[in-house]
Amino acid sequence: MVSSFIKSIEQVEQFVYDYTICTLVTNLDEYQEMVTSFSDAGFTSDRCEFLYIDNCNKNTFDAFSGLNRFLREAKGRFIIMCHQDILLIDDDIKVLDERIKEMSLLDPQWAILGNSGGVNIKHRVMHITRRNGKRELESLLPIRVQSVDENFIVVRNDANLALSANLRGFHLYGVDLCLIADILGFNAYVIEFNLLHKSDGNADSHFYKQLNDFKIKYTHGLRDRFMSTTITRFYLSGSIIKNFLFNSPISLYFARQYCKLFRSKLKYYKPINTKNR
Amino acid sequence: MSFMSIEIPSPIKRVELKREFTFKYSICTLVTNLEEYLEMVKSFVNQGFNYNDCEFLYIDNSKMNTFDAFAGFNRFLSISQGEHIIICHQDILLSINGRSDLEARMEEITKIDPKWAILSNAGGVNLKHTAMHVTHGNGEFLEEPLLPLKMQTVDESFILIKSEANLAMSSNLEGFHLYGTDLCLIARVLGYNAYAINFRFIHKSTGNANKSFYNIKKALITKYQKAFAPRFMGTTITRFYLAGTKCGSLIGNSVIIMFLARQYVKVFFPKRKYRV
Repeated sequence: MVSSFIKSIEQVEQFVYDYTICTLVTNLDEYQEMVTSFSDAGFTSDRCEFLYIDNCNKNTFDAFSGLNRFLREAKGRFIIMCHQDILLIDDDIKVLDERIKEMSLLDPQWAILGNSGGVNIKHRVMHITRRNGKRELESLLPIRVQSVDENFIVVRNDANLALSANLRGFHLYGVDLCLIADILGFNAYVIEFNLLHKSDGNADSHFYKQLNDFKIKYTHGLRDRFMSTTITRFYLSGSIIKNFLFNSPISLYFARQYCKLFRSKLKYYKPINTKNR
Repeated sequence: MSFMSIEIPSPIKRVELKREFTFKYSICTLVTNLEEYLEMVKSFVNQGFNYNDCEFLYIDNSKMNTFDAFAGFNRFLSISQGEHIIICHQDILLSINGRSDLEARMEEITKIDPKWAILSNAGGVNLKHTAMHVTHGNGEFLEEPLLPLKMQTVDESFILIKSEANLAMSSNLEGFHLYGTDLCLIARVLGYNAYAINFRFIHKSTGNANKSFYNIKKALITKYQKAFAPRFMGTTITRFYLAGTKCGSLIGNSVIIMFLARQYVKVFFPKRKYRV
């Protein structure tokens, strides 16, 4: 007999809500308008929870840390992370339910859905209505993308996604999320879900500073590396040739000798500073 | 205008700066032998991990493998409500160090490196060096004098994870080996570090590298070959190149290479190829 405070995990994951709608808020009136439009589109309290971070007076969270909190706290099967300046003027919860159902049949490894994003270095897709009423509707949907625009992102909660802890700011978190999803083995898509986005996005000086930080972070994150565990050693690289060369016994032998001479265990030792005690 | 004065659907919740956790620890185990598991739980309870502020979660693999380690621990990481998540084997016994020792070690590490996300008692330091700080079932004590140590990988017998790091394991790997390595790799990409600490317990088995181990090792190398591959990226407002080397990043982001890559993609990768 197992004690009651020990819980067995069942195969099917249970969620309290279908959707958790998460927003960083700098203008409560605009947020209220957004929430009302969601409510009118069927995102009501029986199926949804709304989470927000109040950045009205000061930035309590930046986008990376804030959205990481949302991803952890959300109790919905699907997490919608959206801007406060969107309005659901066209498609509703039934449409989103349907799109998710379709995606699950087309690719069970999907983890991120958006309404706009980058397909590759040449092509991008937009399925959105602008503030001036202009509708930019993409005909080739659903389409697999490399990155999604941050105005509206749907994330599968059971994919356990996260955002980088070593990036800050309010730009490029959609790209970061897609890269982390790709590394974990998931895919991102743009789907047919039209909404009104009041702003067009801006690439100011903060954006380019963040883009530079982003590239530096992933230069480190995607680097090649020799790895060791308690029972094996190997080399990891994004290149098939380097994987072949550096996983050979002779390369591993020389790399070991290099570590023996120049990377002693002492270099990894983090003594407790008595001043810290 | 007051935010709550207008009727809006509830529940709307404001996320506060400080996060509240239901439990202090979630102790998660894949179980193939319920009797051995209960012995493990008892040893945890005796060392201060009691039901007042701890939850014990397990996956019952005693009759059949309902979850492999990657999928199972991903579920644990997703549903656990503890501030710290302990992922451990069923065949360990906390009969040497206890909760107060573990908390003292966590406090020390937080002062040294607030970006820690994973703690363990054993693992790989670099290609040459490993660290083991454990007592085996036969009483043999493997002692590591240099602790805490920054690690590349951790052994799977006991892993403590900081919940706020939002860690996950790869969804495109399966099996019962090298999930500690995968977890450490994901943590590094997200910007977190792993450490071996001075926390000792009894581990009844010594681990084994069978055929399935080498199959998973091969799958892990293949998986990360794709995951760490350099790539041209396009967003709705910019384009750039990501590579694991500074040199690659510099060349790939140059105007001429970006131009040529765009022309190549324009000719050979039209948008319709990405439609599903």
